[in-house]
Amino acid sequence: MRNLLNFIFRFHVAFLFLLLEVLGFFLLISYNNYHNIRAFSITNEVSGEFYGQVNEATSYLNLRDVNEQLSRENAALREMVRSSYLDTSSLFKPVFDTARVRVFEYLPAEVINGSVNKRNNYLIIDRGSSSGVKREMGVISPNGVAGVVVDVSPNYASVMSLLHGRSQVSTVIEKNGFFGLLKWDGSDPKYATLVDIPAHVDIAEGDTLLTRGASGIFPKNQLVGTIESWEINQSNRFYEIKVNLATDFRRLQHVHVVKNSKKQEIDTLIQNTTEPDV
Amino acid sequence: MFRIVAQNIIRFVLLVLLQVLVLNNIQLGGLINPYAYVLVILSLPIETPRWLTLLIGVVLGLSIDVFTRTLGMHMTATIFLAFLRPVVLQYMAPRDGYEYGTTASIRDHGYLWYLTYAGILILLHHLFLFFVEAFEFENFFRTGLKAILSSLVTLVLVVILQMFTVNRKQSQI
Repeated sequence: MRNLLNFIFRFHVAFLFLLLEVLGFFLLISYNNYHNIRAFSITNEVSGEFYGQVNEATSYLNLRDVNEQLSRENAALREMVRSSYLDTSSLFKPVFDTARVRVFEYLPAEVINGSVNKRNNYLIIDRGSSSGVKREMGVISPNGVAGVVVDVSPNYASVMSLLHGRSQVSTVIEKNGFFGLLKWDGSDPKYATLVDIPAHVDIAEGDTLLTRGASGIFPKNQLVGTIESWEINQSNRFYEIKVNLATDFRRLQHVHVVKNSKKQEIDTLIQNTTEPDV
Repeated sequence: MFRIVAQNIIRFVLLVLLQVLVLNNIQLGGLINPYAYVLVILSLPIETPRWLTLLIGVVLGLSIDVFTRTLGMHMTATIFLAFLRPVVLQYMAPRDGYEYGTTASIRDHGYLWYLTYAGILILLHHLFLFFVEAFEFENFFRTGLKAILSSLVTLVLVVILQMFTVNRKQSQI
């Protein structure tokens, strides 16, 4: 203890200098917008690099599950391809289907860090602006939707997962087409809450919930989850539906970033349509 | 003693005013922003304790930051300057040490000594400041060039300001 005090006393000027500089940089980063953003993107890059290395090592442990998941997804996709459908139309058989334009592109990415136990949870993925990832792109897992990109550095991106206080996904009930907003109340990473469905709508346990694709972040009809249970809010006669999320955020590893080539068009339209305040 | 403290406080106020009212409005070709307020630190008595120099650096940097709304930017650079000044002074001390009562000025130590002393410190301060301002190394040469050119202008200004004091032996600004 005495030695420590001696040590501090001997270098008190250097300590004071470092302390004041730390304080100065703290002020710099907290009160200057530009410096704040730069610092955030630098720390994002550094922590991304670190977690990337850790993930490299741990990803082997999950290979079995991942393989299984991928083969299941493969099977699901195989069922969808044209050759697995019987062609019942004898009249029309388009060869080049120019009526369809590809709007969504998928970029595979890996989750290198993520939390589920905070009020607001983020995932870090190993794709960044150099791969074309931008803010407000959707992120989906093999099982269902996962989140939205909120910040991008050259090689990494942070994704606001569904398990976030500001996350809102426009969700539609498959069997009857009523839609509402999916939110997360911050308690259980397995369940989210669907609101804004009027109480007269007929729902049942296990009903499938899909994305509505309203804002163009997610493609239409992506699986969100299934209905687990519900309550009716007596004051406004709306359901509060407990949703069993399709994506298991606790073991999320492989995801796809969804790029919508028409997103800008949709955004511009929405922006222009908003009536000006009179 | 009281006279020295008062002198330094007046110099502090005048130089901060000069900086925020005049010099901050000068931007020659987007490359040159002189920061002559460093003269406050450069002209402190040679015997000033190092911790006190650091604290004066904090107050000086914060004063400039408040007026330019860049909280922390001038502060970090000025603390850096305040940390280095005693080091440079020690390095440039005459063989027998400084005579008691002499100041770090052209009058007491001559042009060559002063230009070296002020040149080194101003350059280091400006490099630190401009790189903190840019907060990146991507435009390394442009930032460096800005710092060097601005240092030269600041050095000239500091020497001119010194000349005001050479004639009036008793009261320095």
